[in-house]
Amino acid sequence: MSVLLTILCNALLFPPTFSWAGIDSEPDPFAFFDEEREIISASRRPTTERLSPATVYIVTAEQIAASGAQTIWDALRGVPGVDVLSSRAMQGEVSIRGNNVALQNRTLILIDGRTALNGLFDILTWESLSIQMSEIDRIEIVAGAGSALYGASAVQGVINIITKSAEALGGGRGDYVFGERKTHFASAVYGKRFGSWTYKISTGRRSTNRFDDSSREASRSIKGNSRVTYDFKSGWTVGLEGGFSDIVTQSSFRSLAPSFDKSSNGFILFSLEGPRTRLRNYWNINNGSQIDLPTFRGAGYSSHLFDSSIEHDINLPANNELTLGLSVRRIDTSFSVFDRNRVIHLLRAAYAENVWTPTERWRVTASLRIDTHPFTPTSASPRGGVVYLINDNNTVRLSGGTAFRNPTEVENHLQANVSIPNSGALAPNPPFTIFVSNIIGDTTLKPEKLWSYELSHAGNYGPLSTRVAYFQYRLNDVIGTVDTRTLAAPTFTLQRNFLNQDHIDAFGSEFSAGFEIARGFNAGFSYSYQSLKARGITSIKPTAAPLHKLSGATTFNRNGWTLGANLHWVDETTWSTGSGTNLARIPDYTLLNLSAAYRFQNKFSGLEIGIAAFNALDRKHFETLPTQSEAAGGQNGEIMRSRWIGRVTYHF
Amino acid sequence: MVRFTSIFITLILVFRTSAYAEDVAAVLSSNSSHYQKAYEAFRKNLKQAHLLVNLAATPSPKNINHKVIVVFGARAARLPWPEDSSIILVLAPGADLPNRPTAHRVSMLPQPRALFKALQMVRPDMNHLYLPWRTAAVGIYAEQVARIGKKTGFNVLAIQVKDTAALATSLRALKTNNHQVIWLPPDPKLIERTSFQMLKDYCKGRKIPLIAPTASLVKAGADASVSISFAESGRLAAKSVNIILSGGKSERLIHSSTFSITYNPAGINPP
Repeated sequence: MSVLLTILCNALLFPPTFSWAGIDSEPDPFAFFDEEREIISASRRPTTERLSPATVYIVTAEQIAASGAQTIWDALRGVPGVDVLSSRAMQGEVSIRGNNVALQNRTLILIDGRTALNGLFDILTWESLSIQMSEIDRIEIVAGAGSALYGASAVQGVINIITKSAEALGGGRGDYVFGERKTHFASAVYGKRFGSWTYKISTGRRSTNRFDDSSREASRSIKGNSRVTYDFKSGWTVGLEGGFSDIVTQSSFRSLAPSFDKSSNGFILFSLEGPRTRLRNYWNINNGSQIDLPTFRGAGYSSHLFDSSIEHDINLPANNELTLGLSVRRIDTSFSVFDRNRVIHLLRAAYAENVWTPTERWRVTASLRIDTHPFTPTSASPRGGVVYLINDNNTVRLSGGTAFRNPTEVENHLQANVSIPNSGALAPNPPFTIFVSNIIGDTTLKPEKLWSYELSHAGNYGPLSTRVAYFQYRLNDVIGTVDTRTLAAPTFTLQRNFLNQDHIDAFGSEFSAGFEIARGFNAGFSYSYQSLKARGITSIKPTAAPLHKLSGATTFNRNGWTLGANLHWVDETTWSTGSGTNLARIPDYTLLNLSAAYRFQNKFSGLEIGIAAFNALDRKHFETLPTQSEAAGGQNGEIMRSRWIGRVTYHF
Repeated sequence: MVRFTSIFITLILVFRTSAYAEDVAAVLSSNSSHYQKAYEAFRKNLKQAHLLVNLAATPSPKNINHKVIVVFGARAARLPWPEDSSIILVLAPGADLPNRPTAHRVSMLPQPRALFKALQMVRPDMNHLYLPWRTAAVGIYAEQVARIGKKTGFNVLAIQVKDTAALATSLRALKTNNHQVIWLPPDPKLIERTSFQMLKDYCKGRKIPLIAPTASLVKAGADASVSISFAESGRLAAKSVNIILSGGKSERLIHSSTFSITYNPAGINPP
């Protein structure tokens, strides 16, 4: 009894304790913060280049400034695996790992996550973007199949242009650029936070003339953008954004003609972002016409794209982070050369992505997206990636996935029947005095489908960083055109039909290295190799992708000086002329871009002056196939010449 | 007689213990070892019986209306505790300090002057400090650090980063030099694997010491840590309870006068 009492006394004398057996004596270093964060929020799940499930390259605002790039696509020329071609003086085309062509629509281009592609053609006239170059914070280039997250059009990859937040701007800047070929770019950007409010506003006007004839206009545009956000104490942020652009910009319509995109564009975006949930609704508007394009007879089009999406993050046991999303998109188009007055496509999607971090060294990502389209079967796009951090210096990634591109509204619904007098530009005259063009869409087209695999390594060795990637893909059911020519003098009839053709197989690799020579003095180098082979493709030649591409860059940034030199060499390419099986070659070319800027200190603090040159050596070259002959249009590319500019910037 | 005496003493002790148990309750958010370490130190320094509740076993505890409730972690801190109880928050950077005079927080943040002293022990020539933060409570502290830094000759860049992408933007805009240190405050919104990896890669590439707020993050690759240990937080909580029970007035924000530094032998400038 006394023993029992002693035990009882002891039990009451000393406060209770838990048995901690089984608890890891070396806990996860993040466990404490993870547990605390679970209570207040799980923020959005952006990741770093090193941990991302696909190869991601980032071009920062500082790199853009040092490169002296005058256009957004110029800023992407040095990115490994990215094919850039200037089709006209102020229109470029960007594709990732091949398949680049005028009017390319296999790379999804986003502005802050909102699609920038024209709802009608799924193409982008870059000048139609409502943002200013000085507003860009960074450009993220995601190589390879991206449909698992982004849906249609992310076949070759995704380019997401991210603009600076109001806090990052922290004030304003005004830029005036002037130079050769009557170049005048003026812009102003301002942003600031006031308590829980932030606002940002930008506006600008850009105009320049052509390379092949500097007395003729290449492009003029006026644009503006604004964003207001409010942060609630609960952790939610509400945002309202809008922008507009009014442009007249010459672009190449492949073999049809060089044409001016004369359009008014705009968007309104409403967003609500909480600790774990994000809601976005936006409305993109494109109203315009392709003037100078006989096929469309100057017909005006009007496209309204409504997109609504919601995402929610869920933290699951065993270090799993799941994101679920739903998306609805409605594209409402009127175009007088369509087979009906008004076309409405309703696209629905559901997607999920899970990131599993079993240990500090492993990161496994699995994604799946299901998309619907009115004329195609439901598309399922899976993607998976495994990242292994060998040590602090070395990372290996293996990933694979699928992507798809739906037929565009033009490919589905175009009924362009034109009969015009032939001046000799479209077909030989004599004997053909009348030119008839019939371009016919097809609602039975299947979506293009891509399978891709990739293995990559990222190294970080003190001042040296390296990236190596090997990729392989197959693009099935390529949507192309087949031309039928009927020669019955005096009428020359061109019948062009859209149809699914066979497939393209591709493989290649990319290598890049960056080296910090001294503080503020950096050098970079990249090499890309890609080999594309096609079966049963008549209209797009895989050889239009350069086999080799080399880029080198140096930047110096110290004591107010920013200097940059970018040298690019692009291998020769071979193109379809648009006339049967005839091929034409574009020789390899070298491009040197230079820039120098000085930011004043003390007395003139805030003032910055600079000069920059595109194609500083004035190496005359074509980047896409020029007009070939009267009967074979080529790609209507423009010769590239130099464009030197001066810049005055004031930061306030 | 012996039996009677034993029963008598036991009854006295039972009633005595019961009286204290009604005064103090300790509530742990989970079984996690960091709460365990703090609680063990709390228990040793309290030297009194108390009620212990673990939310892992009892997610919705009832009848806790003790004079002082010591909560370990944000999950416990956010439960609806009685208005007339004094609440002491320990290891709960993810929870707001309740807006009432009887709420106290044992801060995981060193006093600003102590922070500078500690950082100089890691990097003696340090005169630039980058201090990113996300949660409002850490923001107030960051402003204090910046203010005191200005007076004492340190250039402090305290920047709120809304997410990992904003952290990347902020780092890119950072003008680095040889006298710089990046210190991560114990901000649960800021410290997660991705942002930590980003900071680690950034610091490694530029040879800037990355100083973490917990010793375990040194094992994850930080160059050093300047931290208030979990045990010290528990000890301070016990001290505060003793003051309150004895009728004294405890500080609303309780700072430690000590801090511990953990070095990474493979890090930059190990001692």
